[in-house]
Amino acid sequence: MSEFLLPLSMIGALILGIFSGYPVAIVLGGIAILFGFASGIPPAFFGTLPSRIFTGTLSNWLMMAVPLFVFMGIMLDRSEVANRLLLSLERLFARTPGGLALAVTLLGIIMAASTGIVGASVVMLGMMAMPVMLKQGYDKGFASGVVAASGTLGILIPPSIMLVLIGDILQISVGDLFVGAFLPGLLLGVLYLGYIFLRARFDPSCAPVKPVDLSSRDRPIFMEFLQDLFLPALLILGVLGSIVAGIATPTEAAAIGALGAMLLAMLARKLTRETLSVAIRETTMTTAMILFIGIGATAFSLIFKRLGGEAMIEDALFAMALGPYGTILLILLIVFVLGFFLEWIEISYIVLPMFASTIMGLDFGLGSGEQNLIWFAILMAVNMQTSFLTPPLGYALFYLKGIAPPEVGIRDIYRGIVPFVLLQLTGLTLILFFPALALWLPQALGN
Amino acid sequence: MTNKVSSFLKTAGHVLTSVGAWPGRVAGWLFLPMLAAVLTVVLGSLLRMHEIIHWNVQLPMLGDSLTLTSLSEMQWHFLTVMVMLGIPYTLTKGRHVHVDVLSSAFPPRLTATVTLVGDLILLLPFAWVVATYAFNFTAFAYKTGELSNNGGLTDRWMIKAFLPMGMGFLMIVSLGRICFALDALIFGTRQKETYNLGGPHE
Repeated sequence: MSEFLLPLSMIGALILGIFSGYPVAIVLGGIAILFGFASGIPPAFFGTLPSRIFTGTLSNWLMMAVPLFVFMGIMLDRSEVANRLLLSLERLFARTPGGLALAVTLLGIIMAASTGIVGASVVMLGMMAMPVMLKQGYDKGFASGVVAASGTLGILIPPSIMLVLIGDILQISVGDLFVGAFLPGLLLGVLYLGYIFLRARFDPSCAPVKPVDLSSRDRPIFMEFLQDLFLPALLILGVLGSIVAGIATPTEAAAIGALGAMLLAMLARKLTRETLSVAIRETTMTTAMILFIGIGATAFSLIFKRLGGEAMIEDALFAMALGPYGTILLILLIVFVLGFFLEWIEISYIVLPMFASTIMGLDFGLGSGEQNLIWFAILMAVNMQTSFLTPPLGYALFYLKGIAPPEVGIRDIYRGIVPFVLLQLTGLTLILFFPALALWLPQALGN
Repeated sequence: MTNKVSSFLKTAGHVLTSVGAWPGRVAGWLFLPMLAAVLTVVLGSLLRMHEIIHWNVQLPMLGDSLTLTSLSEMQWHFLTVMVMLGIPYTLTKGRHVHVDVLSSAFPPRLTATVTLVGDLILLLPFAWVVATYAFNFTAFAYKTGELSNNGGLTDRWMIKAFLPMGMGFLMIVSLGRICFALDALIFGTRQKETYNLGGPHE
């Protein structure tokens, strides 16, 4: 056990540092350096750090989508376009309890699907929806839960960058993964909508229904419809559609979205120098915040692996001889815990190759090893999403805290997310016991 | 005497955090050329263009022409500058993600202690190590004349230099935070924000 002293104390130090209230990114990076020197790793080992940061985070084309989507979100928000879109959506659900939350969830599923990056989608949805929900008198916890959960659901719903990466690592068809993720994604979406509806129905104080304000009708109704609902919807569907149709990469679609948002703001006569300057400043800070976590995590996982953290995890698995379901449960549990410390990018690259051959060899009666892997990949995706939402360490919650109005404390966020975590676990259990949820559609379409 | 030291710490804190934050504030505007570059590449590939302009002198980074490849590499060059300079700026605004579940109830002195200890044992060592090795990394790119593999931008060292530079500004901001934290610890000065010690106020 003594050989695992260092990786275990690294995890301990990380937890201590995070709860001291010190910035998470610097805690990750600083602990890496401290443990690296304390354990006598040759300093030259740190020499690989700049190139890892450079290629992994800074010159990574995927990351470019972050500022572009953040800017799009802020622009839509500051120009009140998003606000009016949400209200228009809410009018569709005006008689439904929790109508605004339902509208946010739909918006979240649509918009989050367009990025696939947990940070970017939670940030965008949070910026758009949180102020609107709070202004309407929503419970802070309930509002945070809705935003964090529907913002991360996009990680699973195609076109998800995560599924592309997993498909690449496990050497299985990305197309099959996309199709396989469809039913599980739909299942979770339905669970969310059902919960929101019932909660608002039986506890109206957490989601008050305000009479829709029609007093500010200074434009003809046709213009109002065009400007508030049709054009923003066209923008979002255009961004989403161009990715799905394979016309644009997420970055290109995000740029078109950012331009479109500026045009909509101009149309609403809100594109002032001040708005632009605020949007730029917020975009800079949010992007630096997200990428700095990536930089810190790069340093942390580099040293963690070097000190045998990876071997420690591997040993723990092989020490126990569990059956097929026992093994998969254990792996899911490990990944769940890792999701507190590492982003899905690192988890996917570290954990998946380690377990792929084991999973392929297990007998679940699914027909083939490839089927095992598709099912496993979907389980992993839902599992990681759950992990990012689980207090006290879920990444999505940190991101949300980073951009939520100051009156929303991390405690409100923790309180509001619990029901969604339970729904996620329900979904995960269903997929675990009914692999057909993930496997039926690809087979049906394939034949 | 006491007042002199306290006001010196405050002034030093303000100067250092402002100096470290300023570049990131300005660099944020690079977002607009970045957006323009992405959009131009989208348009250019629709029109199946490759070279946009050609000229007869060798410019730094660009070489003698502007192509779609160099434009698409320029996108992440802009991003790198925004992020590396934006990190110290974001720190002065207290906008890096932190968990306040316990720390929101900390008394001001404990908060100042966390900032002081954290900056001394986590931030400064991390920034110093990354800056040192990133400097070598940049120098190596300069010596070998590293450039794009795909006929894009040249002079890769110029963009790599923003890694050590960003870390340098981060250390300057950290020194300013340390001044504020010392002022709070020794003289009990209440800082405007309990967590975000230091930084130009807006």
